[in-house]
Amino acid sequence: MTNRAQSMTADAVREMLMRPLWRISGPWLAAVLVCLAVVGAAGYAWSVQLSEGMGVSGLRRPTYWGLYIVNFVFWVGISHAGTLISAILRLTDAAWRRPVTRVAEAITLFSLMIAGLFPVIHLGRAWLFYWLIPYPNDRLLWPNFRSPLFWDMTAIMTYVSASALFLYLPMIPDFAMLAERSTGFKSSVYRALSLGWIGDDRQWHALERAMKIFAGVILAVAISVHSVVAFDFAMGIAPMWHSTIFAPYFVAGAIFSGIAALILVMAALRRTLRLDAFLHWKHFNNLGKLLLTMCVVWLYFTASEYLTAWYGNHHAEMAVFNKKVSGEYAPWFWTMVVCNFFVPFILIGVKKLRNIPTLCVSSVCILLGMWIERFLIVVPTLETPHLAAASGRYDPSWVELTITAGTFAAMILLYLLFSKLVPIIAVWEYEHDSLG
Amino acid sequence: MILSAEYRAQDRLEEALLALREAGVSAEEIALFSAKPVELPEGLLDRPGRMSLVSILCALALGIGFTSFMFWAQLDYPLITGGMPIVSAWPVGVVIFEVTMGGAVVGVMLSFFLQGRFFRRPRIAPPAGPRDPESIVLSAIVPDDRKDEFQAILSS
Repeated sequence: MTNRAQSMTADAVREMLMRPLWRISGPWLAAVLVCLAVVGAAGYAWSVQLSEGMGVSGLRRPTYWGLYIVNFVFWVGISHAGTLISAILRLTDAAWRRPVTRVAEAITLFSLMIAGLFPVIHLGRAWLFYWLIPYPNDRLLWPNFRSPLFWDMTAIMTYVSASALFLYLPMIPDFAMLAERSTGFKSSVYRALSLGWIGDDRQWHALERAMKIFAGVILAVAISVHSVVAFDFAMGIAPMWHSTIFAPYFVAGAIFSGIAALILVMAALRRTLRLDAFLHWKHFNNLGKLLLTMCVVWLYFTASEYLTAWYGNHHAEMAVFNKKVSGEYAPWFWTMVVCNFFVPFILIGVKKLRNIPTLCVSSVCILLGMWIERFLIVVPTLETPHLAAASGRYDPSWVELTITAGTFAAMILLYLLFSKLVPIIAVWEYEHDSLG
Repeated sequence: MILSAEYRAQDRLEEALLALREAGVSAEEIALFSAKPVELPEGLLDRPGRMSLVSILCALALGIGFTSFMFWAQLDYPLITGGMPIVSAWPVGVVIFEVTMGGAVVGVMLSFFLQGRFFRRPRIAPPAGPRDPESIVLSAIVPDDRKDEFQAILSS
């Protein structure tokens, strides 16, 4: 709501944006310790699974995919925040994006790092994950390139590396500036990370050009990654998975949850790092409008998906449909609809109600709703296969629940550490746009 | 010899640049140092690059290379496919796409380092000491015998 930063000098802006880097507060330290404890508990749970075997999880015939795959799909979805906000807005030269891009790009990288862990955790024998890599070996075996598991690996590897570079490139000038302003070991690290940046017009030109091309590439990769995740389901002939719209449905859901995550992180940073001079109501309002649009798109896709299954009236599809809409998963299903549509539609759609706290409430609801949606896609279908006699029930074990909690803590932890290493708003981008 | 001048106003910088170019200094012998990108009118100090072309070529090279490798690997150790073709482009289409995009990323990074002249000593070193973050420093390599003429251009 304030535009104070625009009346500041470049030096003052730098000082404000770099202030959080030089001091560690008590609440920050407490939050890091809490997150570390939860991540540690998740690490212990995983170690139990590694030593005892997959039997300690709730995964039983016929539900071989459980919370691990739910979390995988959820976190890949969250990663779309950075891609959408940063890449699209970069390509369209939308000036308002500048204070938002780094926040969004960091969400992408961290959530992908977390998502990438789940296929490995899900393997059971995690230490054999490298069998997916096509390397010459003494058994003359190659991975099955036709397998969706291999698709996942290549898609995520490309997306993680592209996202990491997409985040890193605009940080190079900031690293050079931080090297000048710090001393000792810190300065050496920042100097190494700045790759000898001198800030001449050739380097600026190369940076801007690279970011433009990257934006185009990363947009295509992001859409493909979530489509591949959807193909993991849609390529099977399981009830309510074998759908032609699964890929765009997943992409739309991913963008939806990604924007919600971005709003939440921005609000948290604005409050804790006192960035209200940089993250204005305009940014929240614009993202809120995007969220409202995606909320309607999500409803459209969900309605199309369920209506088609219901109208087809195939007995196997109807078994899953009924289980979700009016059976044992009905409370979850209707909670999802309320969280993903009714709450955001009212709180953001009614202009008088739209403000930062209601946007945060909507975002929390959407994240919850989208996690439930992922759960409802994975579990009821596997519990109810074509052969009724083969049906079963899935109850997640403490190991899966602890690992799930650990990933949320890991996300917060990564963000807390990141906020102390790099200015959370790209200093040069902000100056370029706001100070002219 | 290298001459440098610091500007706070963009129009003054553009005038100096134009005068330098008209006096025969090539774009290769000029460098601008700033804390943020400087946007200049076309023709004044263009830095043509081939980043798009390099990224497309790298994308094609990696895409075609990995596709060939996949096809070779599938024939090298043929899986039992129940009468379906051993080598088929459709089921590996996703992998081809991702690797091609990976190639584009590699191409962008390569061109970024080459075009930005990273990891090598710059011909024109950045000015030493603290400087105003809102200013732009123009440095140019000029012939020693015309030093006074160029000094006058930069300080006008």
